[in-house]
Amino acid sequence: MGKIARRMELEACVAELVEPDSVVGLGGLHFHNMPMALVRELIRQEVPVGRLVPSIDGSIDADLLIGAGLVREVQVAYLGLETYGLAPRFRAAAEAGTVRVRDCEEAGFGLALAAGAAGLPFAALPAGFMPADEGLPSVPAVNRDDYREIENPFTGERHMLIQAINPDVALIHCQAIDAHGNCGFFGGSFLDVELAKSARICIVQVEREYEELPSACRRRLPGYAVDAYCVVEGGAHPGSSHGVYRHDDVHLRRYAQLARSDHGFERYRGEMIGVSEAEYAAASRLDDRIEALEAGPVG
Amino acid sequence: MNYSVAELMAVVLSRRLREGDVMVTGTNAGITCSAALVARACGRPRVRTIIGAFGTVDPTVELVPASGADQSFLPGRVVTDLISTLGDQVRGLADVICLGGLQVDRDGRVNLAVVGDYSRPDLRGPGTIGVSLIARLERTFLYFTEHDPRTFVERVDFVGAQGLRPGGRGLEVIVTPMAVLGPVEDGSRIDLVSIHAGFDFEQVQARTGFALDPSRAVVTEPPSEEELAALRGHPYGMSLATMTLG
Repeated sequence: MGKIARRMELEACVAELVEPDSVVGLGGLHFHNMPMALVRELIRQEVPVGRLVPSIDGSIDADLLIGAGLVREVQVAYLGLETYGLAPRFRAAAEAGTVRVRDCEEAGFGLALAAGAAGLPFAALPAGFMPADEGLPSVPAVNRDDYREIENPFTGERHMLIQAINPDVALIHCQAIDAHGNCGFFGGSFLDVELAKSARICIVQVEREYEELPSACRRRLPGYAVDAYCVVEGGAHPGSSHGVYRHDDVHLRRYAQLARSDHGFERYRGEMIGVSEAEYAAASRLDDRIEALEAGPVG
Repeated sequence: MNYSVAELMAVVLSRRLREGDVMVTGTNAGITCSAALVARACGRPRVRTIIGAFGTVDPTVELVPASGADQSFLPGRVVTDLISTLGDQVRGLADVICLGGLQVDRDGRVNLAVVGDYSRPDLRGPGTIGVSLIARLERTFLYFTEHDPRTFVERVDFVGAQGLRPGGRGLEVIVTPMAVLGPVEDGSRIDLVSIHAGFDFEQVQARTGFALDPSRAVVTEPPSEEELAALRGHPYGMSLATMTLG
């Protein structure tokens, strides 16, 4: 059944729609178009996540949730800070064994999301795609939750399957929304449309509301796939919001440094997460930063 | 020398690009985009680059951003999207993928997931990401901004992909600030291809965790005037002259 997008406050989106211990998917890619306001709100409300599905290139969004101790397991194709190095809290938790890792790889992860969005049970990978078992660990050898081998009934060839990704909740950031809940992306949309459609509940945080989606939108997500949205200007900070502001190099660099230690991470968390998104805006000098980082139109 | 290490690395990769190639790249793509620039200027005008995050074909950017998903990578000759670009790679419509790694071993296996025991790793890396696609694209270029013995190991701790595939496909070249490595003629192992001017065999061997064959220690052919002119005639190619690696 088609969904009717409800406008809600940020706090209510999390309190009413994100069940404890559910499967939570995050949109964006690297530190671009991340649903950071929703991620910070999950941390404020201390909502435990049963399985986190970061974007195919997960970043500080997933690292914060793991650092806050809220994530039981994480399904990973890539989780790092890209040009800022490894994801420090993911690294620490995985090395200490406090988060369970479901290792995936890029093609399987992307196709599993697309399968989830299309209502298919799994994606089948080409024969010979995965490393043969040499007694060394590899993705299919360590992740039997998501990868299983099957014989192709048409040809008899062996194929690796990856189970479809269908999160309970998807958290998406975009730039524009209209009165019907249709969402617009001024720049990249990455796998956000696939993620939104694959999830049981889709929550969108958006920079601004419009009567009609502006022509600057390069890609759109139909409102019939959106359950709820909240308007949070600057909500992707310290990441970029394509076409609105660039990523905050100073902030991300500082996080990468602080999050290397437990006490550094706690300091960041204490200073930045606060008790409300308004406190985050004050602590991060959000208005000044957004103005300084103004992106200009894409292309 | 009248060229930088980054310029040399771009030129080494450019010589591997063939007319018609479609090369997928992303993070820290200054060197790979510049390689395509040189190849196009040096008689292979239909070498194409795809920025994987957006499916941008031949981005029109002036300066290559460090992040592979920066919005300045969006404008290009054609822009598709991430999921179709993934399909292009699984399908084999793209020819070349450019990657880095945590570990590469003598048998050409590539690992970006963990160092040490998988269940309690010494170093948890970012994950396998596009390494698995080595199995599907015709050719893979690996490039590293440091030549580190922790990277070039006897045996990886986790297999993201087997780089050496039958018929000479798979891993084709590994370029570092010190040397070029690649499969030997019969494709049975990774060894030296050449050493950049200014380094000798002992230095490269000391920074490589598996045995190299000293008889293969020839000097990397320096960039030609034509190659350097192609690089320096474009803003992002020009940026390699002062790029610091590592």
